[in-house]
Amino acid sequence: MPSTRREFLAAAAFAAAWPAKAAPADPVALAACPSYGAELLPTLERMFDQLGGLGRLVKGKTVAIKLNLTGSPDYRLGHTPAGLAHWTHPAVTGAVVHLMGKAGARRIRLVESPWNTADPLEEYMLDAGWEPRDFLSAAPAVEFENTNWLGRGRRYARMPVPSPLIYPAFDLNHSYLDCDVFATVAKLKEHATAGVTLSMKNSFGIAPCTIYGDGCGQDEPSPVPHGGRGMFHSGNRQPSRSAPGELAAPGASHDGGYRVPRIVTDLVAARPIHLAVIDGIATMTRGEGPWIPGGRVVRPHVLLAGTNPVTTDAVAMAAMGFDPLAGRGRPPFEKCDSTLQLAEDRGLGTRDLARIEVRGARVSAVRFDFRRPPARG
Amino acid sequence: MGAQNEWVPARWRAGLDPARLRSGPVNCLVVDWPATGEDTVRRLRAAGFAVVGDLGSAPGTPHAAEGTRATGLDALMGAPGSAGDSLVPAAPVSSLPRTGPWQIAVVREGVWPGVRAGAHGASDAGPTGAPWIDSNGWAARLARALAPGKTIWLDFAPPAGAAPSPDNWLLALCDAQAHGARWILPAAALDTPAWAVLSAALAFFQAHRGWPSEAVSSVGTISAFSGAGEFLAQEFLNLSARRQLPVRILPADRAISALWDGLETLVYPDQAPPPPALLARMLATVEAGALLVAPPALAPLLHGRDAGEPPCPGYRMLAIGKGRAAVALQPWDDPFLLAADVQNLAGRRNAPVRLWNPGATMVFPTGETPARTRLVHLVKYASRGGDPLTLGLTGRYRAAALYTPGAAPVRLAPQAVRRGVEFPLPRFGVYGAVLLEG
Repeated sequence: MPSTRREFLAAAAFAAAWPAKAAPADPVALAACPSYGAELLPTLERMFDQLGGLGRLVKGKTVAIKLNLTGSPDYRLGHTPAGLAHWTHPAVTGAVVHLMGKAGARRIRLVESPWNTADPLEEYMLDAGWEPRDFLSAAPAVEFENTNWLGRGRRYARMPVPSPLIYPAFDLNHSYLDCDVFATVAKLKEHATAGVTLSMKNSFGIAPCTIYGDGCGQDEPSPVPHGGRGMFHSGNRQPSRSAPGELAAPGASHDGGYRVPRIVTDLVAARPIHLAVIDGIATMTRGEGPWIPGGRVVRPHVLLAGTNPVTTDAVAMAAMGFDPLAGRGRPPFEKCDSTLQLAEDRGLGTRDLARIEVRGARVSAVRFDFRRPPARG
Repeated sequence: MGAQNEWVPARWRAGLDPARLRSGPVNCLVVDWPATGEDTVRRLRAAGFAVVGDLGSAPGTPHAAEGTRATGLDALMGAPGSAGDSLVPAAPVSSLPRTGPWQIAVVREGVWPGVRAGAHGASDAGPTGAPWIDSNGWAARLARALAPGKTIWLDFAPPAGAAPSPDNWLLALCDAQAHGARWILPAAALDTPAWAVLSAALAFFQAHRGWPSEAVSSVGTISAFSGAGEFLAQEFLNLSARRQLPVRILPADRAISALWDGLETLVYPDQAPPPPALLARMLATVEAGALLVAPPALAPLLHGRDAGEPPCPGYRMLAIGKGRAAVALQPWDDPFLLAADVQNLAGRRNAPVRLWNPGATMVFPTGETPARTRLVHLVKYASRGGDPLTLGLTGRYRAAALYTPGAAPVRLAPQAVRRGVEFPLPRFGVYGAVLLEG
């Protein structure tokens, strides 16, 4: 029995390095939810109950919740607030925080790596028009941390990757080690490089740009983050030398469609996800943010939750009208490898719907085809 | 010829037909002096224009000033110095005299507004990664603060060899007007296709010259804006605007008697301590609940108990009365980081305005009082297009209207949001003003 978080992670890494014959097939809760209004909280509570209840997961524990606040806070898809298009909606975040507090979480830390800044996460939220006090009042002992840099930690946490594909380990903000439970609250979206961005792809943002950003330091992390994670996409450079570099010859592949799915699974293997929640009540099509041409706001009215990110993403893909068994060349992976397939191959979870028990709504009842052209008129 | 503060200036060039200007709002012509002959001055005055002689960079002399009336000039402008009180001072903003009987002060050495282009035509990026914007806004507002009650003119021209588009010309005008200044239209503007656009815009701004012009903000900066701290203090004004952080300007020599109503954050960027009376007022404001952002040099003068972790690194927080002081641990050398720190230390919760999808658009809230926004200027420094803008305001407003040069006002309906209201804006050109109701 591991006695410390570090030992627990090491044990988890060892286990993951030797995958069982069949990848885990944890159940997924699926629900229709018409809006972010009063029905949201009871819907989420019912979904967590369908997974066995939050209490067994978070009671007495420190929980880190990774949000998806991609892009600049001043960027909108047209006039649409980010929470109704490309960001996790604040009401979903607030509801998850509240339910975790109600289930006995000892401490809840909201984490995200905001674009290009070391500003406090609360300020980033305010910049987007959010009110962070809503989260503080949703449960006891709620904290915020901008994980795009060292933040409140004294040093970066070295997180080894079992059976690595590209990076043998990542140096991350302390919040990703300093938690008993790691939850991710993602958005139901397509992604220009990775095909889809769901619970696993949300971990792309746990890597600090002080080390993995376009303007990171050569030898040591830069004091504050600069730019995006271009090296993850193109392999155009190595992280700061203080962190482990790529395994293969540097720059061996410059194809983002090859690199990004592998790096995402490396990150998920390094920092396992205990609870995945996907907000698909309102979102956008064609990509991960308003900078992707042709995107439009859509309302699939769906929520997903699961204790395994691979099975949760597989059901989410099905709810988007995609085949989770699709590989490179088939929608939505026309130009990239499937993160789900890579995760399944390394034993993190199955993407085979025949093996996944979906609790709550049927996929066919909530399916929203992301590639269906908008109705005219 | 009207009062000086009603003059709408343009530069005269030999060969221009004054009749072409007479139908528009320009009512004052600036001529090179003494190169322009007295006959021309008489002809321009006879055509109904006020005429101002520009001595250029040469300092005015008592003799030249004395000759103003004799030659028929309505005023003479030049480098401040020895010409006496009758000279309209014209100098870079930090060299302008701060008192005098003159009604107009001219800020020289302005930039040509716009997004700075890089070597291959791409936009240069600023420290944010956002496009680097050249604007005279900060200089115009600083000049107004240094010389309150005076009319501020900006004197700048397109870069040599440039052929500005009508939108470029319009931007240069709107950048000045939005910040409460008038631009001395270069002679080149008067015989380009842009003239009709500029003339309409000038008429628009003249028609709305009663609009409020006080900056709305709870953040104020106190500085001498000269000497060793000049660059930091001035660039702080420039770059805070990029961050949608409006700042009230309090020149140190006037701050003691200025209105401080609604100020919740005082920024003191200078290394030299303020005079004792000013320091006493600053400390009294802090004790009443405000935040002081201070350089390390002020640490020995600030006495309070430790107030815990700062919201951003690099500061020691002190509790002083009901307020706090954030004392920098190292002297500031980067005005952009200072602006970022101030935004984090002060917090964005009560920021008066927020603009989404700004791109290269800057937002400047004004009001009759510094506590309540009534009019928001929006200036687009890049060419038209881009994503649609949404304007957010802290507080509640019943309605609003978008005013743009050459078009009828468009009514805007507010959308209530968590921390105020938002107005989705229709597309517009270089400039728009949102006038708020309620």
